Amino acid sequence: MEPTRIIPITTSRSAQPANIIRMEADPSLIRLETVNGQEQLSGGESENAPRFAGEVHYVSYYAARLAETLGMRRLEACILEDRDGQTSMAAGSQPGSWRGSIQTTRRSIKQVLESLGR
Amino acid sequence: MSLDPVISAAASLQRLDGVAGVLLFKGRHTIHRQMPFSETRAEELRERLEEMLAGYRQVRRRIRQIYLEFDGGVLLIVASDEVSLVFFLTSKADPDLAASAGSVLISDHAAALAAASIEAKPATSTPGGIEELVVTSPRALTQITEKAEPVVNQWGNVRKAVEGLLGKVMGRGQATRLIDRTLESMPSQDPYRLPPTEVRKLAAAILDHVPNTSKRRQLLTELEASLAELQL
Repeated sequence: MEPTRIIPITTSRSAQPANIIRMEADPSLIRLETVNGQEQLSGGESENAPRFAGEVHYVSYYAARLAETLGMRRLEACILEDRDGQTSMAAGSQPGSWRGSIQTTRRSIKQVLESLGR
Repeated sequence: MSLDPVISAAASLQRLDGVAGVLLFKGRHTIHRQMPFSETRAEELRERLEEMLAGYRQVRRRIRQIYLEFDGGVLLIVASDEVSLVFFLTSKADPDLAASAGSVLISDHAAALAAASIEAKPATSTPGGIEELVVTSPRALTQITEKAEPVVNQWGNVRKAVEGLLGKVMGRGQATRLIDRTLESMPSQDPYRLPPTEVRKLAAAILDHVPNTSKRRQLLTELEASLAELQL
């Protein structure tokens, strides 16, 4: 059996094999990349993106201190829940790169981790 | 208002699968601490978490839950006002289950936690570092003795090992019923409070119910190997 492939929705639909699943990109997904010391934000709603960056900075600062106490190296994922919703973030492969979202609905930790691809 | 029921409830959370440590605090007041590292390190952890949570409180943000997944483990903080319940989880844990149990604990003991001070308990210093213990009644003595016993042992893992072994000679349901029946016949029905030697005896007693002598011997040998792996 052929393996299932996932391709972006924007690619051409011509001659699409049956084993291809077309997935919509998550519009709420925010990316924070650090290139040459400069932070770049992409995705998500315009008001959520800077808030996401603020959340990442605050959590990262304390996570570094907590990791030191626990004898661990780095934070890989975080889900922050308050009465207004959930902020989730997962570390990317490059230092200073994060992806995640700010949601007003509450999901289980398991669901959020799945949505972060973990 | 006594915090003893809260402490007992917090200690019992450690029995959940994959929970390596539990810390309950309110401000600088550590109500319960059972972490797999030194008291100093646990206190440092409390201080840093309290500092982080205080930052959120300062901007009037009511944080309910924080899940922090590090490369070597997870910290799950369930918070309500100034009370924070921290779980230190391994990859085996179900964080949703732990979060739910934590929220229930905080809500069930809301009155006692609300009445608790946020200030650290003063350390009782006595000459020569010897603490005086005043026992007022035989009941209090029993309670103190019970508290001094290890609250959590390896029973959860031993039970899994025994279930695995019984699964070789009987169905899963039958094995579960056999274990439950043996537990019910015990004088003390909480296997988590048993010392390691008693846990070993209990596991062997369950396997003693296997009627076939050669199979029973084989299972008991395998049990020894499993218990050695669990360092019991």
